[in-house]
Amino acid sequence: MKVRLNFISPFVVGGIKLVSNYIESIDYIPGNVIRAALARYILNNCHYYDPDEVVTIDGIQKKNWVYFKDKPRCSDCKLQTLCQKLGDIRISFFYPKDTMVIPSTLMMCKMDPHHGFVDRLIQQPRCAKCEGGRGRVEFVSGLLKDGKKYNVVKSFVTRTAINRYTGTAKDGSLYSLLAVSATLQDQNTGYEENVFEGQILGLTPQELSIIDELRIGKYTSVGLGRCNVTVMDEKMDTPDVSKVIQSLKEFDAQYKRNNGINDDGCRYFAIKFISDAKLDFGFADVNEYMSTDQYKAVWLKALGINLDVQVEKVYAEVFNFRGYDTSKVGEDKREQPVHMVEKGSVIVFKTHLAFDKVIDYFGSLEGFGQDTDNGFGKFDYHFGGVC
Amino acid sequence: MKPVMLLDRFYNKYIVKGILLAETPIHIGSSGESLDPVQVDNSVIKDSNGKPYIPGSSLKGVLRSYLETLLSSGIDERFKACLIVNDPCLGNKEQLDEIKNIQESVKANHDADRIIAEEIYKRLCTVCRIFGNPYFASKLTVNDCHLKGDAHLSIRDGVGIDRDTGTAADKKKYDFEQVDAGARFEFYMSVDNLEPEHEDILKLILKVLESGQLRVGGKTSVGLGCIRLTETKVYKIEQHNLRSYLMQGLKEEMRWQYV
Repeated sequence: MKVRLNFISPFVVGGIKLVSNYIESIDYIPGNVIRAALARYILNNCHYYDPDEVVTIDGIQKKNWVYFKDKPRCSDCKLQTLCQKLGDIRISFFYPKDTMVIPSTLMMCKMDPHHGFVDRLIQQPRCAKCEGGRGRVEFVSGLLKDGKKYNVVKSFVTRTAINRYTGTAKDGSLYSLLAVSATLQDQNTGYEENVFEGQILGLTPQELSIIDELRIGKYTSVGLGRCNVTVMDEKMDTPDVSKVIQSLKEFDAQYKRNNGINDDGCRYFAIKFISDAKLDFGFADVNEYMSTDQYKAVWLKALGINLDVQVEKVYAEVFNFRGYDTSKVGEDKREQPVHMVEKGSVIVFKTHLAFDKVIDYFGSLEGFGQDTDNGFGKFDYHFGGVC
Repeated sequence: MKPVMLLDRFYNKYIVKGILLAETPIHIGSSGESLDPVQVDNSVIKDSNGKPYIPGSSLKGVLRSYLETLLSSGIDERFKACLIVNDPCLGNKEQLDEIKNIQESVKANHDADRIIAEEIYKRLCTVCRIFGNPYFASKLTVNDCHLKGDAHLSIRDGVGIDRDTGTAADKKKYDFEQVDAGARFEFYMSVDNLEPEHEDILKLILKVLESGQLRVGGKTSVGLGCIRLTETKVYKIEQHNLRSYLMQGLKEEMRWQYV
């Protein structure tokens, strides 16, 4: 079901420290952040919550773990179903209302952003709208809305800790948060809203509607991240397979034309990640430079695709990510580091298979890489341009 | 050496309540300027209900400044005062370097914050210890004094005199608003973790307030701003009656015996 989060206070999610005392929120909400917020909501309302209780999950000791305790008062608990299902529900990434992820193959005019986009896969990298049609272009990333580059509105909050002995600001404790405060801001009327949308599967609207207010992200105990949760219309878009095949064929033709390929025996298609993906590239064993073909093979292996396709091109931003698991017992709460492929990354595949076979296979995939239950690794076909 | 009373735990709290009586008119100006040509040039500061009040900052500033003057003159050798604006405690580089060196030497100590706070506290004058400075928060707080009952506001005219002619100088006519004498304001002041030897300072503050020697606001040199603390009640909360104070508020048995 489609779910809308209507924020009533700014939020900080995945705050990355740009410098030591400046923490900026990302402009989207990964599914694991929503799941953590739901877990906290359940624990806060649980009759049997014991902050010191330790449970062992997959051999790891954890605290603050949500599981159905099946005790006398559990049968009357309003959150009984949510509690039972929390481990099984699937949560997508949440994005600002009416936005989409910019594919990393898109380029924008350097001189005038209103000149629109050029897709590197199917067009030459120059702005046709500039004088003489040779305007310089550059890659863009982030989000799109109404065919234009989109940015959320962020606001500064500066805070400090107080030295308990002197009552003054504690040394080295001043920090600033750059929190997401609005997704829409009307300069004329002053109207603002901060609305994010995504999907939660495995719950009914009634089960979710029990939640009156969630607190999402960091610094929630001091007022950030408050939001109302509403379930949207149940209607989900089911893609028309014939239309998808037609679009794939058009992309194939355009791609071949743009890249001077005259081979009717092979077909090209592209996917784009519409969320970040945690892929295991197995780089631990690598101790030498790789050729392009070896590198493409590494990508194919990391994606885990079991189909007769080859990786042709990769337009991706990959960064090393090491999060924290605050439910872990013990000093070291760090998680294993992963390679995170950023949302918007595009991979072009080459195949001899017919597109219906491709659609059958890719349609059966939940996503690529780890943690797909929390929305990581979700993808869509990329047909070129703003689509 | 006896431990100093920092702010990390509760030792004591003195609360002074009373009524500030305006013995002469008071003018504490507001910062807002009006384009209205019939509006007074300098209006008095007013709260959200449109009633004049005495900001806590005005009173605290006057009290601090008065104490600095008294203690600098050496009336009691136990107490010292710096000049908070021109020559404040920990205001020079040598003193700050000294603190930084101590900070460096104790940074591995789990109690480093307390040790440094004590070192800072030791280097403060009596006034800074009570009224605070950039390195140590104030132990003394004064609330805004809101009007009790009604007050009469009037507009007073002033004019500059030409020194040569002895007549009104050109374009030197002005007016200002004042709260007339007789206005009563609610007074509330508290001091946390006051060290026993500093009780004499609190007594001094009370005496000064009760004697009507203090003047607040503007135009004090021409007769305005004289206030007197009346109906004074001073309470002392200590560890033995803290719970009672928190749960039930101030009681007669908590009155400080000094007054």
